[in-house]
Amino acid sequence: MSVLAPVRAGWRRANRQGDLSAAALALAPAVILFAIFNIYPLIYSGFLSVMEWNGFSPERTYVGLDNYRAIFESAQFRNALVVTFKYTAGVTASSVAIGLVVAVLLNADIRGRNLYRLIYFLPVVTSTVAAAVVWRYLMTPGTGYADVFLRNLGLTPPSPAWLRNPDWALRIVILVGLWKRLGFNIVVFLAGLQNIPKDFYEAATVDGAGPWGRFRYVTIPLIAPITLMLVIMSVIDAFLIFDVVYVMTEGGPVGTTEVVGLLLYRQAFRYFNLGDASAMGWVIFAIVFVATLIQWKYFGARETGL
Amino acid sequence: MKRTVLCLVAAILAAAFVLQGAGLARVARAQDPIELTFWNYWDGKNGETIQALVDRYNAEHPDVQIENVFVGWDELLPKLQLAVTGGDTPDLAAADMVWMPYLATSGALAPLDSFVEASGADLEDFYSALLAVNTYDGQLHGLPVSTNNLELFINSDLFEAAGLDPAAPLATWTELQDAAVQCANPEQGVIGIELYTQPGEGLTWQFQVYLWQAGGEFLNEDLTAAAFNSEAGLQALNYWLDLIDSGAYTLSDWGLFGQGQACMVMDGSWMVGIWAETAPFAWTTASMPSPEDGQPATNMGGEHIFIMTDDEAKQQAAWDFINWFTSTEVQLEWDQETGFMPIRDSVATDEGYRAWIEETEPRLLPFVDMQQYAHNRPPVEQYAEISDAFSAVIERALYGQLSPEDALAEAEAAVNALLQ
Amino acid sequence: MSAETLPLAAGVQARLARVKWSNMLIHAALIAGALVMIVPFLWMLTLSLKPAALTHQAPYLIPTRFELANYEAAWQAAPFARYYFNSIVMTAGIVLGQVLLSSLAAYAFARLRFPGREVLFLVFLATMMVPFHVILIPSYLIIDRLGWIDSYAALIVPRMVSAFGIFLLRQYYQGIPRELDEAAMIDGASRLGIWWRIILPLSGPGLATLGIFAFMFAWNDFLWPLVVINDPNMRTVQLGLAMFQGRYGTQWTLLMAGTVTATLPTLLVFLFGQRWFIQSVAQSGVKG
Repeated sequence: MSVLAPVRAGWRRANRQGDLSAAALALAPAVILFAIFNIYPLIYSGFLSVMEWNGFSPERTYVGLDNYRAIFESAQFRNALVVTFKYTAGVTASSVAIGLVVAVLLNADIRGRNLYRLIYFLPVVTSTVAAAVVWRYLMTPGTGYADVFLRNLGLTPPSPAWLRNPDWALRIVILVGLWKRLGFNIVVFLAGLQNIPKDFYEAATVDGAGPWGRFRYVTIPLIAPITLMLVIMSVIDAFLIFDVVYVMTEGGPVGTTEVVGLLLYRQAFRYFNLGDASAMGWVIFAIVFVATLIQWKYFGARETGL
Repeated sequence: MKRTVLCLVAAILAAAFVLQGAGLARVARAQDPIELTFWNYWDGKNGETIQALVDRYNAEHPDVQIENVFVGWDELLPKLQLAVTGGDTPDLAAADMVWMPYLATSGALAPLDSFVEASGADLEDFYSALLAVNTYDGQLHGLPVSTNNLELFINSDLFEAAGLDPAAPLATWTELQDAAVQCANPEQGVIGIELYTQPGEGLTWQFQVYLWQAGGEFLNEDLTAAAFNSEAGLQALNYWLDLIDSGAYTLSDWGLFGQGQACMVMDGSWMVGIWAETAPFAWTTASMPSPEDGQPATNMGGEHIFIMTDDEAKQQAAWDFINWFTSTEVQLEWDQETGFMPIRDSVATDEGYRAWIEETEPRLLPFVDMQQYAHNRPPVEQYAEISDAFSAVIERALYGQLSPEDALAEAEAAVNALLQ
Repeated sequence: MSAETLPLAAGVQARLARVKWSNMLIHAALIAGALVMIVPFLWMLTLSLKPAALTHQAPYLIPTRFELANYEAAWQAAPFARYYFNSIVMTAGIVLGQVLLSSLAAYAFARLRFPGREVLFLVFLATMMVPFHVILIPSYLIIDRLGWIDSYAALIVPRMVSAFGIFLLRQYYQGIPRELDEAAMIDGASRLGIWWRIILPLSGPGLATLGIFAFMFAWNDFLWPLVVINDPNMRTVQLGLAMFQGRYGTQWTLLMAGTVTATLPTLLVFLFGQRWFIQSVAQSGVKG
């Protein structure tokens, strides 16, 4: 092998030029499509964000940073940020933690593993809107299954009912977000767990570690790269959430489920304040971007292979 | 071999051209019917009815072909807005009354005054409140094609079980509250009177009924400031809070009446047709009671039709359809099929119409009779934003997070800020 | 666990008892979780099989009435055959596009060196963090200007490339040994030749995974088709289902019947692609 090394190095040097033209060709379709349908609209919306425009009149007035100022001064937006943070933290923490636990349980040689995996993955496969509609229906006071189930157990449902209860509404929305995401995390974790060599566990057992010790000192460190990737993806998805909230609660009751995605939708498609909507979109994007960068740098870019 | 293939390909292409040309020639000889696209959100029975009407119109007018396109209610306004922004609009459309002020400002709706004059349509016959919504910049931009209002629905089974008589009229707010309290059954999850308490237009438009009944107004006359922070507003809000405190209503989701879990609800005339088919309980309707020192009032909704094309020939064709659709004869048929309320006096007072109602669905009578007391919501461009802001504050009052006085004041400030 | 038995047997018995007990606990926990996962589907299924009058009444989870007429009525309520056709064309186009283009781009990021590589990758990733409603209207205007409203092009082309796909496959390719590339290079293959002849064939599981995700995304997408399609004949299945929730009430039993039918394709695709899915996810996420 070491004999070939200088040969390989030579090839590499000679081919750097070839690298560039090949890369250009390989990336051209993706870059062109992204530029037209992602980058340009994003920039255009940045341009709109300093304007006042109702969507169809030919006049657009330049308002500088007014839209941005209005957003930061808005108590409603600040509340929405808090709600969105809570939702994101809730769904991310629960879906990653529970996902890992379930994956560990399934990793043990138990019967019916494939069936469990299929059932847990089912929610991922359904359309979010359909799922939210069904869950909303399940939480209907009185005839919804949640109430029926509780009454069969002899318990009384909270009053006001679930989605109209300021203490419960966000919890339920988080539950639905968790329900939708869990299967994906389980499958990804399972695959990762199966790649951890058995020797590590045996070595730990020999050293006297019980199940919890093995989990803590072998599983968790070795699964770290996957955990980080799942956390980042979950945070992005959760922060941008819209469908579930729109269908289930429309931001109520009393703003306890009003996420930023909902405010953005209303500005754009109910009030037609396209300037404000664009500014809000950019603010949300900036927040998510910074959060992702922080997670990446802080928890080790090296681990995810970047 | 290659040459044979080339010849074959050439032959096929030539044949295709010839056939295409022949087809074109054939079509060009006959008179091209004007094709119009017509967007609306009528579905279910209403959708079938409009489709039948459009089909009949097409059959009777071979020089015009109208394509009836259903677009869901949630989606129609964004799609119309995108269409205007992109310059790719349908030729005509029927949309929610509340959207008309906003759509009119777009400049994409063709003014109808010249068409009205030329065809001699009788605008006096239309209810003026409905026409007011369509007037912008001194011009008329649409016509009403359907309307509805809000009155009281009563679950007769639950009433009788509670010892109340569903046929006994409830005349005042007090009587309404008493009946609701008597009928409500919290252990069984039965609510006395269902109110719409989710933030959004649903809450605003229900609340407005009580506000108007108490003699108040939502905005002032020149639509520059809020007017609901008044004694009437306070009376209405306190009444809702009383309903909650007395147990007549418990904060809950909407739709309980249809599931048989609410004794009463104030809902729209369109629900008559729906519940006639799906409600698994006996029910009846009545006009909404008003406060002792108040007046009858109700809110109205409905759809309005307008023209969006620039092409003159298409505009004329679209107007002809609109004129036909809004004529008394067609409206009579339309209302009977759909359960929508009359938009013109000649329909409401038509003897055959009243007789038909009394025979087939007398539960529609309260709606027909109360239409004259219907107020329209303020036709301002920012109505959606105002309504959301208002309802968000009222919701907090209903949850006990704000006193009613504070709530009305805060809502007033929010609405005034938007009206700048 | 009685202590009266012989020491050896007691040890064996104790270990057996422990194993069974913990296994049963595991199963109990998993089953409880699985029930929560599956209750909404049972509800959907049961509701879809009820006559409309029983919409709000028992039974709730296990169907006892089998009103198959709902499925027929849902199918007839709108030209669903046409909608399914449109959805299939759109989904096929998106899946093919995403698989091919992401694979090409991921190869460039994983294997080739060029200036600005890291920055470009970050830019692609960043597009995943933009709320869709922000770029919705400008994207619509572009489609309108291109004259693509009501066309398959509008449904397919803007979504033919996926940052997630590039990310996924890039991780995956980093796990394929470079020796294979170098062997091919010595044999005279060009860069893109390596992609076509070595990388692509080896990335079956990765492509299958991306294919499944692309399928799920495309099949369930609602907002974009809503915005670019006006012609009723070009509607997709999701647009068709939305029609059951009207201005004046929702037709629950029909909506559920339609939804159950629409969920079947994704389910089938997942069932078939499961094996590849697991295998590829294993190879893509773990290796550094």
